[in-house]
Amino acid sequence: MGSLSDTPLAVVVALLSLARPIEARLPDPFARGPIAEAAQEQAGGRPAAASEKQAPGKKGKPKKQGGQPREDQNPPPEAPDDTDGKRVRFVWKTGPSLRVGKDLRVDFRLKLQADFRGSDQDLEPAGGTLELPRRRFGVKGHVFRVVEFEVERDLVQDGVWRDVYVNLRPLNALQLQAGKFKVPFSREQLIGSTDLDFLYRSLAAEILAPNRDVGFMLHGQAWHRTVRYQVGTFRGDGENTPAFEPPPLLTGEEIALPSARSVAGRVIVRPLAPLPVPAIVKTLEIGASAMRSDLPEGQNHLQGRTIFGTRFFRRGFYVNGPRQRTGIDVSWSPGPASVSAEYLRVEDARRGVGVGDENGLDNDLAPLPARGWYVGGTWALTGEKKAGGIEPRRPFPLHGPGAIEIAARYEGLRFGGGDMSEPPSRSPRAANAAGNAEGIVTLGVNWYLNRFIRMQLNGIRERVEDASASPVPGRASVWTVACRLQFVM
Amino acid sequence: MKRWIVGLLLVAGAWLACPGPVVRGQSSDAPLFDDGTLHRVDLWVNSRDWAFLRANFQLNDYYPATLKWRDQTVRNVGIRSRGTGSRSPFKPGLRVDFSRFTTGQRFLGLKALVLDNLTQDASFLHELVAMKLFRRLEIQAPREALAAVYVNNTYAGVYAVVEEPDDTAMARMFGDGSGYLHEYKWLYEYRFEDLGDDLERYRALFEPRTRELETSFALFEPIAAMVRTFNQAPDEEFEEKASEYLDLSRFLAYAGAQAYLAEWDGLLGYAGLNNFYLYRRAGSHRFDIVPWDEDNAFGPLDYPLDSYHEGNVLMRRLMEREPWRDVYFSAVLAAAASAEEGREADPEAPGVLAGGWMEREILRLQALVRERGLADRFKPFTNEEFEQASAAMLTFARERGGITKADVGRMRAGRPSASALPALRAGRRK
Repeated sequence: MGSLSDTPLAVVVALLSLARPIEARLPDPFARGPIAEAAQEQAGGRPAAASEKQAPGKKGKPKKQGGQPREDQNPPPEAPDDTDGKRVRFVWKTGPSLRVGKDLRVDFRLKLQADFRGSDQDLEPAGGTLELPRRRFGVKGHVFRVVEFEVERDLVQDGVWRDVYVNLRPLNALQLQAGKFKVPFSREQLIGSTDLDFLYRSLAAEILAPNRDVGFMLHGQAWHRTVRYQVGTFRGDGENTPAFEPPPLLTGEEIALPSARSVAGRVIVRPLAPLPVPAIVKTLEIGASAMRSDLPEGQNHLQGRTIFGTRFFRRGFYVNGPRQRTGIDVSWSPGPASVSAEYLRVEDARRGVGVGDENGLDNDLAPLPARGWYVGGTWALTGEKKAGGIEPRRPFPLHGPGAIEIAARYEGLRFGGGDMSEPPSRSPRAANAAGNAEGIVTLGVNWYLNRFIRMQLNGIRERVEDASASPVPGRASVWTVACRLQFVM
Repeated sequence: MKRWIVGLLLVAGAWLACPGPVVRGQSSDAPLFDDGTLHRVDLWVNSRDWAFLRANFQLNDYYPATLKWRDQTVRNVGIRSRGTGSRSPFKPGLRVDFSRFTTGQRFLGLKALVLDNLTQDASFLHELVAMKLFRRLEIQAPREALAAVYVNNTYAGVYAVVEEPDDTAMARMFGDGSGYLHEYKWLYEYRFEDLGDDLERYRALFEPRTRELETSFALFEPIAAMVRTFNQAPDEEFEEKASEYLDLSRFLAYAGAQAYLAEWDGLLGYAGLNNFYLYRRAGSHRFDIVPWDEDNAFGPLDYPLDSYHEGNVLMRRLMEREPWRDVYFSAVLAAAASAEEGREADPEAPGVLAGGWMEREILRLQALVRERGLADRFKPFTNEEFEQASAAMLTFARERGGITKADVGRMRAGRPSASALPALRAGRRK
């Protein structure tokens, strides 16, 4: 969590950067080139924003045809460079970048966010009313067109490495990525944190989907990005999954924790793209994700928590065996508007954790489910197209007020269940695990001052089904208002 | 119009003639405590949990289980090891909490149940018979029955199914379960001495079992006031003041019954107070005493009737008063009479007395439990000890009445009780 003293620094850096970015947006053949488009596309229209995802690619469609290009894109790879020879240059187009002819490009990235918020609940455990959620620096680029890389790290003491990967791109349709990066599951989880329509990801994507892990992945695209795919294997279940704990052991007992290796895959289809239909409907995308990992025996299921960390569903049920995640999503960006929806489900197997009956000891229980969903939409009041991310037509301060967008989202997250023919119980070996759920309504306004700076204002109403586990115990509904100032370069 | 009126009258008449809504009471728990049969109780526990419970039998950790009795199954109950001296890793005493994991869950209207492992009673029958005698004497006491308990379909031994003192049990016993129930926890030799104004000292001894969240003052000040009265009330006001907190006759009835039963670890135990609950109805200052854990009843045949009277503040002050001495002796004799009820000369065997109520009960219960008792390989006794303890109970039932009557006669005449029993007087710990 950021300290109070860090905030002015972020603001100063953000303001100082205003002049250069505007200069970078002057007409420039390169700025319209595929590389820039690739960067913009992956970044949702804002440079460097895509660093949470795959590396930029080579030739592809213009970004506005990209549907929802901010998520798991395979942007077009290297484009013809207007430079010659092997001259080493330092350029500032969409941000600081080091170039060595056409063979090497290293873009330097910086992400800063400052949140100001007030709530009915006590926010101190979640960082207080003022927080700096992200301070990251990184580099991203490519070597010899076929090797792409990205490295990003938190700019805080004891910060962690975020993305550290290399992507080999022999073909657009067949690429191999290795290192630490986001596991290909869930549309919203794969969107960079600086490109979200709201301050906070939906809890479904934040909790039910894994984020980064170490592994390798085959991915690619076909038929002009009508179909994209990602499939990979990873060392664990995502860094955001709470650590596994073995069950209590008897004296002298030893159990071997199973490998936590996971397999995940995702397919995105634009079913209308190849059809002779109006361009506005071609941005419709449908995605499906699946993932499987193994859980050691113990109370290792996912936990439900509110946006600011209050646990409304704690670990209290034994699980054992595979964890199966599935998800479907749909998104559409007609002009200045967008709608998106996603449904995620996680089922944790419970092999041999029952209390048994006449038919056998330690019986298997029905998997412990968790499911979440959201439906959201945005509308750019100033008319910018949403596909590929909002880029202000009249950036602030030299050309106008920037872009204004309104947004709304309704989401739900529910834990518990199993054998619904049984009454719900808190027993750690209950066939029907007593659960809890939360529903959230978020209303927001996004002000894109220019391609580097954005302000977001969100009003968030959280409602926990079992009010005893609410952030304000005994009170089911809690309001929070949060404002974010973001600088991304 | 007329037809409308007639129609309305017919409808009203039909409505009035219909039977009212059926009011279904809670499932009766009486069959569970029917001691006319040896019940079978099945527990299904994850084998890892069962191993943990046995390995950590000194802890009160709950584990999930399914309980089955007759054709009724209750899932998601919590079981834990229980007991003080009776705790065992081989034959764990168990508390079954039906609502531990499922709020509001009841089994036959019960919130919880005790499965007493009977490891301190080689006959398996001490407590059951003692509680039955109490109830015959109109002393409110928990109900219980015997059961063969199976854990994961493996025979785990003979247990006593005991009604746990809780608000449900208090409602049955006293007609109102909304009062203050305290379980006496033996920590040190305590005999109603005044502990001063620090209510926490009373909290340690009298653990609240209902209304746990109320203030210390609400919970323990009445107990402290009662104890202060026992200690400080002037002689001339003692009976009146003490009666405000305790029905002295009922107290002596209980003490007398325990004396008859030679219970050396009860209200007037060798190490002070032990094995009882205190119950105070809401809005009242008066306490009732509920017996608990009578495994150590049926002690020595010649157990003195005045054992440990001197040390107990209340008993000493009562026994200093002739009328109350008489009440006590009458209570002892009433217990003996109840135990021997029906004892008469056998017409087919001149000179031989037919068994009284207690003897007949013991014989009946022994017939119920013998086979399963001998097969109980987790009991901490040999089968020979089991047989000896069973025989000793019968002897007790046949001879204790005569001994107590003689002792009462002696004590009423101002002479001391017949036995001294120095070993007991020196005090033994469980």
